[in-house]
Amino acid sequence: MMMEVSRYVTIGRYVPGDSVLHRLDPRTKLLTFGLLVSTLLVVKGYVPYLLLLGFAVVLLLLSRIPVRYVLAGLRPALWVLAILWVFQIIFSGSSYPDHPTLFRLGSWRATWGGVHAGALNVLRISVLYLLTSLLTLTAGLVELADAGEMLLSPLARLGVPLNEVALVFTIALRFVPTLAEELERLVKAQISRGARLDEGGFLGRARRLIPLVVPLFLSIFDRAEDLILAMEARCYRGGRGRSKAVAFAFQPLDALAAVVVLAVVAAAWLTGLMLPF
Amino acid sequence: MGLNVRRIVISGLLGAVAILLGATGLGFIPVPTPAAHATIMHVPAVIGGVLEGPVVGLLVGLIFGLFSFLRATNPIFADPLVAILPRLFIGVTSAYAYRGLRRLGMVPGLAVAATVGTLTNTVLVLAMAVLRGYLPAPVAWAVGFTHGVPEIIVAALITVAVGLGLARMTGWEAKDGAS
Amino acid sequence: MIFLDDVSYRYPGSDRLALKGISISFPPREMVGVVGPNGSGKSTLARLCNGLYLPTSGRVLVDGHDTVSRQGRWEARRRVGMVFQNPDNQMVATTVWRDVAFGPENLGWDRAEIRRRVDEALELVGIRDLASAPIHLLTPGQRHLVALAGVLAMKPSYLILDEATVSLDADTRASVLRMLGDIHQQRGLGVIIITHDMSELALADRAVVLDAGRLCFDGSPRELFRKPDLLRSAGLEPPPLHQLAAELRRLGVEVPEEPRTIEELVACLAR
Ligand SMILES: Nc1ncnc2c1ncn2[C@@H]1O[C@H](COP(=O)(O)OP(=O)(O)O)[C@@H](O)[C@H]1O
Ligand SMILES: [Mg+2]
Repeated sequence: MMMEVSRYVTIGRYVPGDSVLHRLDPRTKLLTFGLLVSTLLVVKGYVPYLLLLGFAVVLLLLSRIPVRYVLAGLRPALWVLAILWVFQIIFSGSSYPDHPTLFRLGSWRATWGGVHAGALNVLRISVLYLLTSLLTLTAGLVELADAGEMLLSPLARLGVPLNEVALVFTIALRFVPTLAEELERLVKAQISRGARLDEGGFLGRARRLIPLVVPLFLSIFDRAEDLILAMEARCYRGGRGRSKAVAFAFQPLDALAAVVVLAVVAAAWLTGLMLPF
Repeated sequence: MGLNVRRIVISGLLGAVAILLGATGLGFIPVPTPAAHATIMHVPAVIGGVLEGPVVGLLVGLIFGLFSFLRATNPIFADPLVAILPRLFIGVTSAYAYRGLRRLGMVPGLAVAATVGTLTNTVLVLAMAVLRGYLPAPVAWAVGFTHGVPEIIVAALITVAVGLGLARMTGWEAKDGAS
Repeated sequence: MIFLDDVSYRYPGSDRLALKGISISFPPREMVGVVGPNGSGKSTLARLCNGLYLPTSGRVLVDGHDTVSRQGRWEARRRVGMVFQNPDNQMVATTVWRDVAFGPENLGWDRAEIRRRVDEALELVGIRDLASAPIHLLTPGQRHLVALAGVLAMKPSYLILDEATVSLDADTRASVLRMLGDIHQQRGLGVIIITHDMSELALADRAVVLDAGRLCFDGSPRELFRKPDLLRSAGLEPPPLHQLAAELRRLGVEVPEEPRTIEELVACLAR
């Protein structure tokens, strides 16, 4: 199941490229992503969702990332969504007491309200999935952490330790492959003792998990001692007074992107508020 | 807010463990529900909260939440209100549970803290899923029970084992505890 | 100058001294080798030199700055760079360039300066072409070079290597040491190499031996190699090269008493 994990544990899915989307300033990527996502969370309706879905598809084409690659990730999710949709229809009676009954299942009453709510969910989740895929495929995670720190910098003035939090993210990303190697060693040690890791039901798996996960947890405290000393030896003394080695620069393209996204978002809000569907 | 070097480093490393558990599938244990597996991805947040306090617990939970949002294994985690928000509380409630109960002894304290942290995760995620209209309440109850129980057992086992191991290695609880 | 004045150190919670009344100074631009058996206090000594630990008694001054004060500690850290044994546990960023920039960022330098110093340091250790490589794809040898570059980019006056080369294979270690020798010579960098490998000691201007927290030798490496008893009482062996030379001389072959390199010895034999 997970021999040689370290080789292919990838947390970021960043695929370098030079499409319009790739070339945007990471701050623009993050900010427009945030705008689109929060719109999806608040606004409800077929017209705004289809509008946003259309926009996400256009972005996907612009990104020149193979469409099949992105859709392959969506397929298993669609199954779960379908099941959830069925549940939503069956159990919708109490949420829509004045809707006419579609059919009954025991004491549960299915309604059209459930059909619509489920359909909107599928649409919303699909667009959200496309947007997160686009973000993580066109921007590195460290870059996004830097961008987040810069965008939120007004909060730093209020005492929020943004620089420290960005460092926490970096350290987490930095150590995933290292800990994967460690885990690999632990797995091999277990296998050489005859353990079969991916067999058995819940109890069996749980029992075999302990000798892998507990040493992994304990090992990080040794590492932590080393890393703390090394960081202090390299003159780390908190976020204050630190400078930043990287900077981003907004280009005309970023302004264009901002205008387009704002227009789409505004259209979604307006249609969402004014149209009854 | 007290983010010294030690807390930064431990948060980062525990965050890496959370990501690793998710990325390798090691954090998943099969149970028969639509979600198909129980998870121990929240355990790093519990351990962070118990050992280093609520701030570390919060940060590890944030990393867990962001990862589960960006690499949603279950479609309802594509919604950040379900994926991220509930996770912020796992390490915080564990931290306070442990602080409140450690006078009962380390093992019961750790077990209860892990239970509280796990319940925080299960209950808040499902409540959010119901609130956001992804899950009907009766389904949420069923999922909560089939997931919650195994997750609590495994989380408590791991947390107790890690706490005991650390106490033996470094004299952790005797020295500075969760202060 | 790094100056330790009658320094003792006790670890918190420990009931004995890890270092006992050490007085020693490391002048600038010197290459010093520190040896001693495991647990003799070498790492403790190193960590006192840049204020990671504060003396239980005595004083540590780095270019006149006492590490007991916050400001003094900061000055000491800036001046004394330190590379540890496991490079994996001293890197914080996901790519080479960003990791080497970590120290300069902590010093608050502006971007242009950071860029210059980081590129320079990468050039110096010969890994400029790896600048954008992810750390986890590097070989162990390359990781060591990144750790070294990360410290050199901060422009320290002194560099302490705490058994930083022990896990390297012989070839990589030799090339790292040669490079350090060059940097030491060209930049006038003070280098303190902590090791239990006696052949590394042969490269130093000066040798220091610690045993059970005490300073038991401070002199030239040549002088030390002539005291096999002292070495053995500290659980150390003379370098193989010197043992070989001693053996050859015992057999009546004309070779120098302290050959610095194997080539020197071979040249003598060829004559
Ligand atoms: N964190 C610690 N707590 C207590 N004692 C320690 C600690 N680290 C080292 N020591 C003790 O201090 C002594 C010197 O250790 P160290 O400086 O690491 O030696 P060396 O680097 O020469 O191997 C040893 O006896 C060791 O057991
Ligand atoms: Mg040592």
